Amino acid sequence: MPALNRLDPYARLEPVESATAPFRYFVAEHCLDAAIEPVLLDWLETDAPWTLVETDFYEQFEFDLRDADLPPALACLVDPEMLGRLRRKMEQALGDALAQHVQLVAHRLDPGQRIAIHNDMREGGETHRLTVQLNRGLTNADGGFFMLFNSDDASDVHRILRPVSGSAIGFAISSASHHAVSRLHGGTRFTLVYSFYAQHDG
Amino acid sequence: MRNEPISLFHDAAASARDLPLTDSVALQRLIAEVRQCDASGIADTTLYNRTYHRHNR
Repeated sequence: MPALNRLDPYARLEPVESATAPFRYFVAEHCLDAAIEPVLLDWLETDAPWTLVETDFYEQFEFDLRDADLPPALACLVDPEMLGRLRRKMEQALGDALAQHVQLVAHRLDPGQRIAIHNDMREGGETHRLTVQLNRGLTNADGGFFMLFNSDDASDVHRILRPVSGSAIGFAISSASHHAVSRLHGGTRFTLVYSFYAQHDG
Repeated sequence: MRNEPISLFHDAAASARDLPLTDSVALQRLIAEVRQCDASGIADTTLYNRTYHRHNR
């Protein structure tokens, strides 16, 4: 058994493709360490402190990993040095300088849930996002696709990505970064969402 | 850098990542699933932003 608490869980994270339109994003595959992924999935399925968040516009389970009582093997996910390395990978991939502060939230979608089209843009909010997919193998029939759009029109689809476990999408948040998650019809869809803030001079 | 919407795939890995946009019925269903409307039925993609990530901590 490797010493999981000393692993860099994202040592393998490298973009396999990048795009500048309709917004800046990259796609990575197999980015989560193979020894960490099953441990993390087990914990998310059994002991993680999920809270159901419901609004008029969406419904999903969430919690902040920085507040969670993580098992030792998963402490690397919020280790400050690891977050620093992850931040530098985001900087290299997207070409922007990022501040030290990083947030990490886990999301869970159960069958029937979806996330409607939005762009994540908020005044004073996060500026960059990295979403890492985790699941036991979702089929096309299970849904839960990550959808990217050319505009705020949901019919103006740019691309639809399968939620392959261990894959990731990183993007710069802007008025153009429209995305969504289609309805989940089977299985459970977990996502780790890392949020970053642009470095401001002065 | 890729600047165009993807409709054709050039390698096996890309096709494994992407769901082809060729089945119009399935595509229309997906679009309907993620369409955003406020109480009056008007599409508003900022509604989600105003509440998203507000409850995380």
